Amino acid sequence: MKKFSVIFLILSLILFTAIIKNSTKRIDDEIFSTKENIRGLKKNFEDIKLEYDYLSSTYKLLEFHRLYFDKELFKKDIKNFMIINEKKNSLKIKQFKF
Amino acid sequence: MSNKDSRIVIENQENDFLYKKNKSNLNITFNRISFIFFIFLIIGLIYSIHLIHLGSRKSKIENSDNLNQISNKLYRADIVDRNQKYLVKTINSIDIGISPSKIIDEKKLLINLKLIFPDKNYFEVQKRINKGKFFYFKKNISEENYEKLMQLGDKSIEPRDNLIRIYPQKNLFSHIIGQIDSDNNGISGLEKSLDKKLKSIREPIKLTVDKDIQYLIRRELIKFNEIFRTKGSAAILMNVTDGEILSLVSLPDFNPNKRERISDINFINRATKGVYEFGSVFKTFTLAAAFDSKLIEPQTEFIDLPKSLSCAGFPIREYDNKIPSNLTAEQILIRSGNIGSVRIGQKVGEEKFKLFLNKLGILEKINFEIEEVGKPIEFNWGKCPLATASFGHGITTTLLQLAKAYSIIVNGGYHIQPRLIKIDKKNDREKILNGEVSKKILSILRKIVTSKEGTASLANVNGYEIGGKTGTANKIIDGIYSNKKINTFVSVFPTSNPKFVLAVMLDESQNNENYIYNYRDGSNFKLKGSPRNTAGWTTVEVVGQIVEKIGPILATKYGDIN
Repeated sequence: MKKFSVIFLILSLILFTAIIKNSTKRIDDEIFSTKENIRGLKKNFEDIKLEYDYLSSTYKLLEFHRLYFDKELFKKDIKNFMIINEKKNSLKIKQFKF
Repeated sequence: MSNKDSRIVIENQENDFLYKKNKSNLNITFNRISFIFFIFLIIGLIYSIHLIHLGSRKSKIENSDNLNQISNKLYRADIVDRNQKYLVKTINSIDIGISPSKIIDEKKLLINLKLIFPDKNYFEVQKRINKGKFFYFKKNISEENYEKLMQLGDKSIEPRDNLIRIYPQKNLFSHIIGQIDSDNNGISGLEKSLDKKLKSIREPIKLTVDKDIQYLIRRELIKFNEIFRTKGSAAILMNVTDGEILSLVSLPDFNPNKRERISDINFINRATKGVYEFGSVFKTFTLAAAFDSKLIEPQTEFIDLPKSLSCAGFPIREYDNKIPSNLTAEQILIRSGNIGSVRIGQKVGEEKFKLFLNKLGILEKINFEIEEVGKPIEFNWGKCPLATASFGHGITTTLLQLAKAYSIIVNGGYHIQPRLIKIDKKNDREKILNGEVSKKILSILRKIVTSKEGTASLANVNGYEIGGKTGTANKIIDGIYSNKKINTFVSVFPTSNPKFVLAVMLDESQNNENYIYNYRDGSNFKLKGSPRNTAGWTTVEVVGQIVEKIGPILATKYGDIN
């Protein structure tokens, strides 16, 4: 009887593990397909980022500046930089120092 | 019917089926249990095999993923700058090949291809089809053309996935990144030194450089290469506290996308590989060595300095004959006095000076992340060599080592290792110089830029507290000193709290008679044409212009505001 119980227990464990593992197969598949989707999106993101890097490069920005904002945008002297600190409803402005 | 009585005889029949105890040892009851157990065992085994199969399934997916990505012979990891902007990227591309044996209607195929790719030489294509072997029709086609080709439904058109390495910044980082060959092996720069790593990892490698700052410095260097008609130039912008290099430019440079074999020696990396005599920038080391040994103070006076000295039959003269005979140690560096520097060098002595230069890593080949690193020419010490080394004559090093040494001198005397690859973990810094050295030297370097006697007033850009030392040296060509110049300026800013060292070198610069200098002393004075071919009139102006452009970015992006 004792032998029977042990064998039955072992076999039941194997059986239940197999059933549980089998049920996770679907989740595995979902994880796999999600991963694949992420990989695709990541690739798209990298391509767009590459394009963004190019369009926002210093070379391009200086070109846009020359073409469209030559008079609107101008260099500001660092001595005119100020730092604003907000403390309990009051603003404190101090000179920016490099 | 006969008279015979019919009789029924009932005989006791012996039972032929007597139960006999089976004498064999076979136990039927036990066999039944065994059999059931065996069946369960088989079922268990099947489930176990199934379990193992399910368990191994995931790793198979991962393996196949890795196979696609890492094991691909053409795969190399991307490289990004400190702000995650792409410097190098591996991208997927589709190459289209044609398998002539699978062509059904050649004429139809060629007409269709001509509609999609009208510029192709179809005479050549026809010739290759006739050869009957697979060939690549077009490499790296667009997704739009790929769709069109697939819609043709011709089995002879075979798309092949490929990976290509692109350098979106073109020339900008050529000397740092380097190149790869047609076998996907790095042949220079980081592509070579990180070859194995780039092939094995998937995450991008992050560098310490800033793409925007690099662009602005390179643009100014190119501009001034034309103005001063130089053979080449180099610049290094280094963070003095941790040795991170924000920009490293060497001109001329090249476009790594072209995959050209570069054999012209003029394309040498002047920032790391070129070994030069930099002249008076070494005087800072002489004075710093004296401060470190506590032999003199900035106000220590040197009386009756001669206008020339003789050493082993060779004269040592002052560059400027108007230089006074009595100078303090501070004034010697501000006015870039040769004789005064010799006197300070002699006070320090050969051993201490050698030890000091070794601590700064000036004389030995530097350990750096790219292999294109120059080895300083061995210096034969002695009485006269000590005298000449004191003012930077006869002693060589690289611009990178110069930037490193100045960083150590101004950062409080902490050792730093120049770096191109960003690391998150910061090591504990080792203090190798007396902390007072930085304070004393910084004050003098600032005066070189702000005082009338100083040689670098053109770099006095408002708001950045630039300090620095100029160096003009005659270039050695084939072992002989020529009239050609190496003009250098190593600047430090802001001197009140040093953050950056910017070292700029112009190789064989020449005077420009038309260039207009705007004095930065508040006088609004303008001067047309460079009076002398010295660092003070060439490299200092370049540094001033560079800091004007990059200063606001450095101040707001890397300053204390953040």
